[in-house]
Amino acid sequence: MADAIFAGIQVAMVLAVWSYLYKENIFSKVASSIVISISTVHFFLVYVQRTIDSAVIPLLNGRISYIIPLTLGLLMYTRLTKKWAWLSSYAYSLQIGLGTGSTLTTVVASSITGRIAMLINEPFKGATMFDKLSGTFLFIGAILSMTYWLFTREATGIYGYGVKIGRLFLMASIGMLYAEDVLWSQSLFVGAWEMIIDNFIKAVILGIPVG
Amino acid sequence: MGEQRSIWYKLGNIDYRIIYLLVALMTAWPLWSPVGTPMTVGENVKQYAEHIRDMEPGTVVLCGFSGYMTMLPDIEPIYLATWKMLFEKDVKIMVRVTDVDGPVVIRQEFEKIKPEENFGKVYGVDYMIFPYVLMPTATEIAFTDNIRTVYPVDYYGTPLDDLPIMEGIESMHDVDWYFTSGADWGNQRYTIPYGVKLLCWGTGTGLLPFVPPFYDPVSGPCYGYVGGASQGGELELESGFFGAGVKYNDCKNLAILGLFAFVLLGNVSYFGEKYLGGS
Repeated sequence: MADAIFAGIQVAMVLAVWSYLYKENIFSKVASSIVISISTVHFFLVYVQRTIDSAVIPLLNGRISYIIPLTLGLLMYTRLTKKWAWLSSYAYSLQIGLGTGSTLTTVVASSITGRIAMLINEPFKGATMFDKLSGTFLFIGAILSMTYWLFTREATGIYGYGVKIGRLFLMASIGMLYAEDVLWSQSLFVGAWEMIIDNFIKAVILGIPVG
Repeated sequence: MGEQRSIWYKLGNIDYRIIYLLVALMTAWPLWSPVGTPMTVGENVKQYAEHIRDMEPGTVVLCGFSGYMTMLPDIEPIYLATWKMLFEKDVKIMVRVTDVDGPVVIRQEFEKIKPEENFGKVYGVDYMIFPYVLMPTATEIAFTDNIRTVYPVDYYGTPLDDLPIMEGIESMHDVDWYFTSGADWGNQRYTIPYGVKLLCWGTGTGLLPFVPPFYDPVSGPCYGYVGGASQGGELELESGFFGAGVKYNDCKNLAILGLFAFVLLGNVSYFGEKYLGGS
């Protein structure tokens, strides 16, 4: 019985959100407000609990050094007042400085030199002739795509053709990103449909066992 | 009297709600009665599965679990198939929850898989779960250097030193594979200093456009990847552990046909109006 009630609530919420596709209405507004408020409360409670477990309790148990991260965290909230907002810059600068310093240890090797090495190797690493040709095609595409971002000379003549082809490669990449986004949205859509059909229509209304 | 519009214009301006309805129906159809649209397994998915199959007994695997409720339909097929493949092997599995609602999701997933019942695994001996910890850069560096500084206890509050699985595992030097949702600089914090190999799993939109440049099945840093429910279905096919992924592929393939029909219609309308005229 509890499962049936729970499935009914799920279906009602999904249909309320989907009703927005027809036009904005009170049901879609109520459903989205419920979801947002529950998520906010959930995240808030998890983070508060986590702060208590990982910093406040150790501090109360005598680990005095935990006063430093707690103080830095509290300093962030000084931005709420004009008079004391400058104090938050200590917390921000420490965090950004740490982040930048630690990031540099891997970002150069992985995202700069690593990518250049991968690009140069691309035409040679394929096992078959097709793979090698494909790698060469990607290599040329990458070089031409880079020319699109050179603004120091006018895109005319042979160079202009290179820029145009580079733009096609960029458009193909952006198209792929969009396609991935559509597929991702579809997965979520299928998930919601599965819940309606399997958990509600088949299991609750028709009484068909769902595996 | 209103302006007369050509048939081409009308074709290109069909009420968008008809598109929604068509896509909804085509998505729902295979859920009611599977159609069985053909599927092929991509090379990246084969390599992902192959590397799991090749893991030696005693291999230490760290799984960065970023399962969260709103994205679950896109990633759950990958997670479930991967868990089953890993639990079939005699490897040590450590799960690190990286999202705020991950603890709820991971509990649900393991309730579905039943590692003790179906695979004869024992919590604390064959696998363990770390609690959720917000992991900014400084914390992650501390974690890679010494696991116990960030996680003194596991998900259930047991000290790590009381778990047999954690014996001899101190830092990333002791980990062989890391399952993660990307292969960029943040994840290469595990590969560059520690030599941990990456296998990537995640949502299609968050993983597929970004991981391929780092993919090389022989030299890494990413040795294989699976992104999104579509490739999750491919992994189910490859591993033999069938679940929702294959069904999702059926739905998505049909829905894409519906979308494709409207893309075609839009183009016919555009070129018809441009070249064949009409006011």
